[in-house]
This record gives sequence, structure tokens and C-alpha cells, in this order.
Amino acid sequence: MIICPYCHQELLEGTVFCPECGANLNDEEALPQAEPTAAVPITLESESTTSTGKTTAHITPTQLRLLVLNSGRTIPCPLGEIMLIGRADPSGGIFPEVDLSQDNGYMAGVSRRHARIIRRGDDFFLEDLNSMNGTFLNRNKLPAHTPVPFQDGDEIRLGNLVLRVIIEVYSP
Amino acid sequence: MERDIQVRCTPSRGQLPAIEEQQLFYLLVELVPAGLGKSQSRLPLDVCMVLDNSSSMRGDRLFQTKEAASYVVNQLTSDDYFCLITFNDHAKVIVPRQPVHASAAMREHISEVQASGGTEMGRGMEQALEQMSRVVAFSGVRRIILLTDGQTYGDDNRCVELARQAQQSGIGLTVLGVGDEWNEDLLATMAAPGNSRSDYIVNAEAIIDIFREEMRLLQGIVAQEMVLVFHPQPKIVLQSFFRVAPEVAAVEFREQRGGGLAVPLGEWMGGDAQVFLTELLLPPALPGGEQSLLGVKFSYRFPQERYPREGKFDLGLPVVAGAAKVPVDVPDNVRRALERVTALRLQESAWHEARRGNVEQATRRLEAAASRLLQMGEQDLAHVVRKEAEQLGRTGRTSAIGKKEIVYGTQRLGRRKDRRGSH
Repeated sequence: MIICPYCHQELLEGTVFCPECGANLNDEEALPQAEPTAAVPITLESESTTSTGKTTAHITPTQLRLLVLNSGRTIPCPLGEIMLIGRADPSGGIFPEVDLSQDNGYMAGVSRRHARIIRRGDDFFLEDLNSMNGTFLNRNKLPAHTPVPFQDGDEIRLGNLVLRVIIEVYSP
Repeated sequence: MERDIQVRCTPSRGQLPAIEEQQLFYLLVELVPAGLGKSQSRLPLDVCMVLDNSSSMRGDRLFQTKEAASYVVNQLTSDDYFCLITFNDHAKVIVPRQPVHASAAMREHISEVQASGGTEMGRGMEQALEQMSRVVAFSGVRRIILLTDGQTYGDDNRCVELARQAQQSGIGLTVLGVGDEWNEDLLATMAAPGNSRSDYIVNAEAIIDIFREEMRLLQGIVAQEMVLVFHPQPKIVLQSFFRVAPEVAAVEFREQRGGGLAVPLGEWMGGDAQVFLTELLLPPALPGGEQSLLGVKFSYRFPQERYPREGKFDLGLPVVAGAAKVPVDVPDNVRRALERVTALRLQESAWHEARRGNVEQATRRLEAAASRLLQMGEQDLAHVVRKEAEQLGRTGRTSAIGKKEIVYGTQRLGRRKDRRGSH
């Protein structure tokens, strides 16, 4: 039995493409690029296949935190260029920088690789990774693979789990 | 080099893991002609055109259809047979089946056809079969070409039944829908056997090109009476069978008396590569060691040869026991075929869910299909699918044009070649 990394469907060994969501099960291929809709055009460097939280050392005054409204927990976000939001799955090799499994993420419909935050200098973008239950920015559902900018005070919803964005600029 | 058609099979993996559960396995089947060069034969043709002349065909549609019919007549000689039937509320035999001697008279009758009334396709099909049954001995290619622009009233099942009768007696069908209003599900069902096809004509201007293509196919026959027969080992189930080139479509197969699953394919028309994909379900607890999985037999007859020929392929693979992880090394050509089949299945599943009223599921399937198409580099089709998903999410309904564009856009993925020119 194998589990689809995108939609969690249980599939028979030997399946190559998930019949539910179409994902290629057999290699960690690059995520499909979205067609340009109303998104901010960003070119992304190719991401390594497993997110391990390794970051380049940025000296930046801007700190991003996410407040989980459901549980009250504040998550400081590491200073990486790309941060995966989802639920940790050690046996599947998935270690999101923002791990919502302890915030009842599973019941709230958060996928293991649900969304990601992309940082460009002091700007932040949110991208849905074709998640099962969707990613919403201020009540607007994001099309998959379409990075959209967000700001301090914005509300991010992943499935039924709501996060409030806190962006603080530090003066040294 | 002796001319021949070989059947080349590529499995989705080179080894199978010995596991407690069932597992899936795919086999790519390519028909490879050898020693034929570009040779295709122009055989005698027995063509029956069945044309919708309901009131919606009035104007340019009927004009272009009549032009197309005249074109077909002009391509035929006295070795060929032709008949033409029109259908609206009734069916009328405009040109009874006959050798093409007096083509001018035939064209005259065609030019007199007018459009009026409703659409009863079943009546047209009945007349077509009646005409086509007036045959004594014919060794060429028999074809019914049907064109419609609307929904038939209440006789869908009859149309499918009549289509099957024709197909089982060796008459392939080409069913064409023009415009937005016809029933793509019905035409696809009619064209499901391996010796038939359906296609979408966007507007009146495109009609003549489709008929030119049809004649090109009919006039270039590589082989006839093609049949693929699969003999899976006991407990192995052949779940699905798809054509992947020159079109992407599910193909019907049936159990043969005496064992095996047969896929009659009819004529190999036009010389385009023929590639198929089978999906097999393997039982749990396969024993270790080299295991025979299935036999594939391919029989065919070259034009002008009297007797059929046969090619065979027996597939066995090592089953690796123990906890060792068997590498998943899907060959490129198998993966490409599976990509196309996945795109087909996702959008078919979307329509299925939409019909059942599960809008959210349907929308998700379409979005998944769009992602899959994007990964395949099919930007334009992915865009159409995404738009349809948005429309479906917004209104709860599919759009007549969008669905047709997607169904036939997916079908045409079979014509894509990779950089090396292979499918």
C-alpha cells in the first residue's frame, strides 16, 4: 500500500500516478509551475526535495510570526527563503518549517505539504501547493501554485485552521 | 527485409516486489511495422455517410457537409461502394448503396438535401445498417461516417446497439459532432470499440478538413483484421485497456470463448504509430522467482495477402522476495503513456462526479487534470481545463463547449511526439 503525498489516498503498490489527484508518485519531481493568472511573477530557484529547515544566513530586520487562532500558539518562522507549511511526517521524509500537526492540523484538514511561504527580502508570498482543502488569504481561495503577497495582519486559512500574520520590523 | 508487424511490450517495472497485497502493473504495447517502408495500400472502400439534416444544420453547416459528401464521392472509383443517408425526424436514403459509376448523379442528389425537423439518429443508423447489409463479398474497408450537430431524441441506447452491430460485422464507425449541442457521451460510447473513433468539429468551416483526413486514413491501409488477445495468468486481472497513440481513449475488450481477452482493432489506417497501454491487477503474495505474467497475441492480415499472420509476446518478470525495496524505474515511454491516460481518467472522473451532482469533487478532479497537463507541457489545454473548473465551481454546471474541448483535446494528446519522435 502506498499513500499519495498530496491527497493521502491509499493506493496499490505499482501505481504510478494517483488516480485521485494526478500526482506522480514515483519521484520527487519539481512542483508544476502555475500559469500566470493574477499572481506576482516570481522566479523560484529549484527547491531541494526534502525541506530540512536549512537556511542561508540572512541578516534581516524583518521577523515573521504566525499566530494559530485555533490553539493560540505563536509560531516564529525561520529566516529561510522558502518555508513549507503543513504537518510533519517523519516516515515520509516531510518536515515542514511550520508544522501544524500539534495544532490539530490533521483534523482541520491540513495537508502534509499544504502551502509555502516565499520570502524575497522583506516581502512575503503565500503559495498553495495544490492542497486537498485549500489555502485562503483573507477569505480568498488561492489557486494552486500561484504565489500571492501577504502583509502584517492578514489571515491565512489552511483547511479549517486559521493563522494570523504578524510581521515585525526590528531596529537594531 | 521480410515485411512484418511486431508487437513490442514494455512493462512499467523490471522487477516485481513480493508483497502481501495486490499490486498494479502496466504494460505498454506498441505495434511496430518492419520492412514496410511507407507502404500503405489503397483498398476498395465501402463507405456509408449518415448525415444529420435537422433544422439546426440549416445554412453553412449543411452546405459544408454536402461539400464534404461530394468530396468523398470524388475520391471514390468504380471499385468502391457509396451510400448516403440523411436523418432528421425520419431517415431518407439519398444514395442507395452502389458502386461509384455515376458520380455526377450522386452529387446531384446530395446537392438537393435540405435541412428541417428534429433529430432521430437511430433511424439514420438503422437505414445505414440496412444498406450496408446488402453486400455479397467485399474484401476492402467498410466504414460508416456519421455527422450530427444535436441531441437525438430518446434513442441513445438504440444508437449504441446499432453501432455495435455494425462494428461486430467488421464495419468501423467514425462519428462526428459539429458545434456545441451534441452529446459527447453518446458519440464516445458509440466509438468505444477499437475499430472506431469519434471527433469534434468546432464549426462549419472545419467540416471539410475532417473529411479530407478521414479519406486519407481510409485510403492508406497498413493492415486489416487486427486483433490483440491477452492471456493473463490465472488470478491476474486485466483491469483497463487504452489506446495511447494516435489517440488517447479507453478501448473496449471482451472475453473470448476459449479464454483470453480480445481487443478487435479493425484496420490500421493511415500509417500512424499504434500504441496501447494495459493496466493489470496482480494478486497478493506472488511467489518469488521468475514468474510468467501474461501472453499477448497479435493477429493481422496484410492487404492483398489471403491469410492472417500472428505475432506473440510472452511476459515474465522476476518477483523479488524479502524486504528489499524494488526500485521503481518506470521507463520513459510507459510514463508518458500513463501521463496521458491519467489526464484522460481525471477529466472523465470529473464529468462523472459532475453528473452525480458532486460539484466539489468534480472541480477538484478538473484542477488535478489541469496540474497534470501543465506538468506535461500542455499549457493551452491546462488553461481550458482550469477555466472549466472555475466555471463549474461557480455555477455548478459544466459548459457544453468546455467539456467538448477538454474531451477531444485530451484525445488528441496521442498525436504528440517527444523530441525523439516517439510517442
